Amino acid sequence: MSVREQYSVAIIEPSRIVSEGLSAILHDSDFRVVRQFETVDDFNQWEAALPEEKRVDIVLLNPVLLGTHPSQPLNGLFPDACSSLVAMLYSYIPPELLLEFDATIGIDDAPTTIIEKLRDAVATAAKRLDCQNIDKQELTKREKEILAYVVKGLTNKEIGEKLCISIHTVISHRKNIVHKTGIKTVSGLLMYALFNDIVTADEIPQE
Amino acid sequence: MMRRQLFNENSQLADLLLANIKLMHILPRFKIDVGVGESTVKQVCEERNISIPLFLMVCKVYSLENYTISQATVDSIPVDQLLGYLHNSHTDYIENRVPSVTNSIIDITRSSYSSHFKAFLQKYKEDTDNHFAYEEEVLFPYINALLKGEKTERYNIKEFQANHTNIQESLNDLKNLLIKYAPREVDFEKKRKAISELFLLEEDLNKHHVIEDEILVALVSAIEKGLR
Repeated sequence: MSVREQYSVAIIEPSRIVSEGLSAILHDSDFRVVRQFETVDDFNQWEAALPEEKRVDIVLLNPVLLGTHPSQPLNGLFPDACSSLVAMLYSYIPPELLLEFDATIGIDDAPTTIIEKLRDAVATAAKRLDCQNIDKQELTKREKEILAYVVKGLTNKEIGEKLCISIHTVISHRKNIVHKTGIKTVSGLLMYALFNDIVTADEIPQE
Repeated sequence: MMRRQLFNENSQLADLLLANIKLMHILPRFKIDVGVGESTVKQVCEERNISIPLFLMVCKVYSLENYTISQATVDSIPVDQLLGYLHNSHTDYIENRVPSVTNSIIDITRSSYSSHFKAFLQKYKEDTDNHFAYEEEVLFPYINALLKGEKTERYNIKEFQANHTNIQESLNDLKNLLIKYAPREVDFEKKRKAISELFLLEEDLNKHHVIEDEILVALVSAIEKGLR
């Protein structure tokens, strides 16, 4: 028997008949329904307790559960951008409410169509992840400049004055530096700067 | 995944350790040594006057993913013994685990950067010491006074919750830096040792925090409200 990669799916749907039906349709596919929820809150509670690597690949959600407010930020509900979000429709939902979903499936879709759509949704999420990884690449020249000042112990205000930029801009650069390097503490950033030859050891004030 | 049923007072202590070797770290905090033969959890705990629910709870926190602690479990834990366990854990971190990790890291860092690495590690050690010292010098005396029935307006457990700092952040930075930039010329075995120890310590501290944030806080809030 060959080993096949399986994608995990969570269903958030108030109707038990619909979620059981979907689970049955997906049973023999490469999608595995790990859990069914009746409300978004239940799902969020469950997901919050999971370690990152255990999060589901696909969240199938009936958009009715989000209410009718179009500005409701879905990304806030599903902070994990690695998962695909798929809408499950069996009544009319205004298209502006579906913008944040990676795909939609309808109650009339054939099982093969559903599976195809889910595959597409997984591919969309994978692309999104690639974009995030690109974001994570090397620091820009400006960011390196700012990092050098940070590890030399300058305040945001002093850095802003040196480079003739606002404190606001300095803070935003610093956020990007933390995001790109994954390093949060100033002493960690100092080590990073040394390893990457952004500063040399003798430029750093010794305590 | 480990079976929940294994964590039972009639199980052999040896079986628990065979299932999860990380439990080795909690043994000294209960003053238990290895080499207890076929003794069950119940026998080992009774001989040493250790609360069985406390011991099993700690084992489960360290072994089961997504273990949610029930109210009944919380209610069955004696606060004084929990404090003793946490105190012994702090001593273990300060005297053994943290120095061991920092020494392994100093061992692999390049000579030209070593003074900075030393400074980073020194700061990390100080942060850790301060973190535990706060609990030992402010929180625990408060709880001990509470257990004796003394009430104070000046401090409560909510303040601890609000100020419970995260000392894992610097550990996380260290992991990140070592994996990406550990010097090539250093022996791989040394790097393996340092990085593995770092991961184990971080995991251990995460569990330690679960016990403090979920069990200790729940128990102390109950005492504050006069429920215990």
